[in-house]
Amino acid sequence: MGKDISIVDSLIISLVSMVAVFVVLAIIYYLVDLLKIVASKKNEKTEEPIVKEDLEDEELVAVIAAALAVSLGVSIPEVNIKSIKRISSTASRWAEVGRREQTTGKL
Amino acid sequence: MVIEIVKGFLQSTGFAAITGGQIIMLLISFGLLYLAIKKGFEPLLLVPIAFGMLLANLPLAGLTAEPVVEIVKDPITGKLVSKTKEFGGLLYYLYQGVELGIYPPLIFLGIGAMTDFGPLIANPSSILLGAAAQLGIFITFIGAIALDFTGPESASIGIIGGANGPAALYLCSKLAPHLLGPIAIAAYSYMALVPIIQPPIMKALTTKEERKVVMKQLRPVSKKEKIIFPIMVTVISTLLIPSAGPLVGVLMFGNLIRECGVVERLSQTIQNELMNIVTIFLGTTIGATAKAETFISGSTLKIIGLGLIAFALGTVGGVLFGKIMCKLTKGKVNPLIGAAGVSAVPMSARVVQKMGQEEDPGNFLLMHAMGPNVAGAIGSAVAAGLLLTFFGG
Repeated sequence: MGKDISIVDSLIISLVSMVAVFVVLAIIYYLVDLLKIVASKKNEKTEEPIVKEDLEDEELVAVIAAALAVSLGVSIPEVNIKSIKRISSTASRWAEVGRREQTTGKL
Repeated sequence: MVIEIVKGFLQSTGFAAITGGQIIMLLISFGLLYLAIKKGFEPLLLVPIAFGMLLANLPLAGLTAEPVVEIVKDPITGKLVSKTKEFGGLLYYLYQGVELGIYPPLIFLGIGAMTDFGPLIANPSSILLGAAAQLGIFITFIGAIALDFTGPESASIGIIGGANGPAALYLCSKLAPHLLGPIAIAAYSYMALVPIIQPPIMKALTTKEERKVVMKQLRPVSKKEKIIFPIMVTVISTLLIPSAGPLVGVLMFGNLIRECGVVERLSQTIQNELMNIVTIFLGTTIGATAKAETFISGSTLKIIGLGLIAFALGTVGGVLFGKIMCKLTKGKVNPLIGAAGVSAVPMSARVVQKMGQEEDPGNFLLMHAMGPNVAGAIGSAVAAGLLLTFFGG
């Protein structure tokens, strides 16, 4: 390519290059997508920790049921838990830290 | 007699030799030092750049002097031999690392070792945002041609829009070394100004609802994927665009050293000591390219203007493509993350995070923005390789 090029040339170069950048990155995109399949196939063995998590979840349910029973003043079998959802906190980290400090200070 | 000695001494000082242009450059360097030290503006880069500029514009010190070599006849053998008459200044030798394209790949190595490509592997479609944000490079390239820059010069100016300092330096040192000073300074100052340049563009192009889009949490990425990724990207991109090899290949090499887990010491060295050493050399010598004779000219102003356009258009390209992806996925992608497609790692991702939280304090976009952000680094290296293919020969 010569040193002095016209606007038309530059348009063509730009178009070709932009398409080429897309093509290269799109190829990488598809390959990375394939990578996921390869990686997940070989990771099927990791079932054990999932079972453990379930157990921990049951423990968590028990803890929450007990806490509810105490605060509502009823016995544990009377507490019916349908679902437990974690609510993402909208408070800032600072507010959270402040609240925690407040509660621990009162203990 | 005494008067003559005093006169001679005074003429040997820099005060007698300093030019108006050099005084202006010295004032600019003082200004940059003030910004870096007092205001804390990118001090890691700005302090070396500003001091390099200061050193290069003090007359007679000869820090940037080239060595002078003479061909003389050897009195004994009668053969013609080369003899070094003057050895040249320190900054001349350090500058060879820029001119021969050594420092920019080394910086890329460090960036590779510091980057976690996990967010990109978890959400591979975000890699396309890194491609879209290269739009600014090519539109600015056309603009520079229209302003009567030559092809290689225009390519070097356009690459500022990749927001990727080392890629810009690498391309410029190969295609238009005479413009290195202004281009390097424009590229690095705009990178520092990302938090000021990007938000208004992002705000203008998106609606309130779009900015509020909360994205699904990324899946965890296995170690195996993280190890295969750099190897794969190197092979593919270097086979497709060979001239992008020195940049992409080295970036991925750094990343492999980080992820493979068996060379922790090398990884630490690259991330810290090597990176710092190269930054010192690079910063000082880039600053030293900003000599009054070459820096103070009309083309510098044009480059600084075009560089800003390149940056803005890169952001526009990324955000617009983000909007397309938002539509296609029926509102699962927050278009703001497109702005992080200009590399400027991790600054532009932080800008996205901040803007997302302004609309919805519970929205955490940082990791989602890191995907396009690191893809932008690959994208701009590929773009640099392409421009090198067109104009390098």
